[in-house]
Amino acid sequence: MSEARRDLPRALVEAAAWALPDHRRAWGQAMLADLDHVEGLLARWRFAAGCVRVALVPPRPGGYLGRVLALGLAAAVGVSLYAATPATHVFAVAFAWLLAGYGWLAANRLSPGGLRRLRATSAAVAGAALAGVAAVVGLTVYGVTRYPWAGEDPAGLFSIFLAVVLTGYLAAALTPPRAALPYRGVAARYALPAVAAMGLLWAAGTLLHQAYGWGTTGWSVPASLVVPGVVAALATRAHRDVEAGVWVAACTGLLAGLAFFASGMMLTYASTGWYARDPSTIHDALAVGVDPASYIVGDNLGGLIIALLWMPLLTLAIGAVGANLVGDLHTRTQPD
Amino acid sequence: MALAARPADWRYGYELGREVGLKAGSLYPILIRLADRGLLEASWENGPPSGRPPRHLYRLTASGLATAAELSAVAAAERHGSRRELRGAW
Repeated sequence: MSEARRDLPRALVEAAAWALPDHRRAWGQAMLADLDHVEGLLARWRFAAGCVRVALVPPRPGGYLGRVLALGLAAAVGVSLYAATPATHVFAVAFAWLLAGYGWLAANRLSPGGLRRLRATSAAVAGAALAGVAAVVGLTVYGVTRYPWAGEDPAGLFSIFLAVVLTGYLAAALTPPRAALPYRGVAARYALPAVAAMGLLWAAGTLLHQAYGWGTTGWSVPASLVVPGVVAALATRAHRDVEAGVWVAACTGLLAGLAFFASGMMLTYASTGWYARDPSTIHDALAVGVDPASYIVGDNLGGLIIALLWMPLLTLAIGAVGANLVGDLHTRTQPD
Repeated sequence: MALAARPADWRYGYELGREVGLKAGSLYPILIRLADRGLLEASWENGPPSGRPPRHLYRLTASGLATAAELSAVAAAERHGSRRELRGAW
């Protein structure tokens, strides 16, 4: 009877403890501590399954409305997307299931008064993220409806990937980790202007390229990634806390991923006429046998769906470097 | 009733579940509801074995004991009543 045993049942009970609302955290710790005294693999699995059940259907009178609302909303989103076009069928089903699962867990995790606290501290970020997710979905549906070739996804991989990533964005924006709660106000104050600056750089890159043939559109993306490093460093310096800088970077990444997709697809749709005259686009489109507009929409849609994953990760990494550099400098310049 | 049998003792959740034949998925919701209603008090154990987190201990509060006694009396009266009804039926 010495060290706590690390196995899959323990991981399950840890997940169940995480999913419990704040005011039930002690019960999650109690389950974990009891698991250490359960002997035998089968008994541990049974115990873990019971704890997962407690997390999925916690004893909380009054939580039913949240769960019913979450399921209703997920069903409404799924049905609307399913009805939009056959190209969105896989996405609609995957997104509805994931939204329902997330909504159920999120409703369970809300402490009494949790919704009020959520609104009070992060309305700007939550609103921007919701608008961003809606924009991503709307722009995707528009693209695959207007340019059917762009929506071809025989294995459904892009559709499922998009559903998973968008649910992740919603979860990160609406139910951030508990450690982030003290920094939500700071993160919103720095992240929103940072994303606006990044958006200006992306737009400038595309427009300068199309209007004057000035360089390629590629320069603006690396240039924009300097922004999270700078804002994270500024937040760290202002608050004398590296964690503040890191959470600013995380929040910037969250919003930047959505903004990058939305601005990229809007510029693509607005520029299909330009691409129809662009020799390299015409060449590539002819190679696959489609018109240049469908080709560029399909190409950019795929690339930007993947960017929904790498853009926030890269933004967070660069921001974390900026925050730590300033944090180290601050520590070194402090008198002993 | 298992908690009321030894009212002064603090009991572990898992052992309590085994004693009354309840799995974790049923046991914890019951304990949580009892605690929410002020019928059960919970405490963290002191000095757990090294490398192990402290465990939750439970016992009934005074009002929990009173409720248990009340329920026990009702159950006994119902048992007595049903035996009389059965005798009458024969």
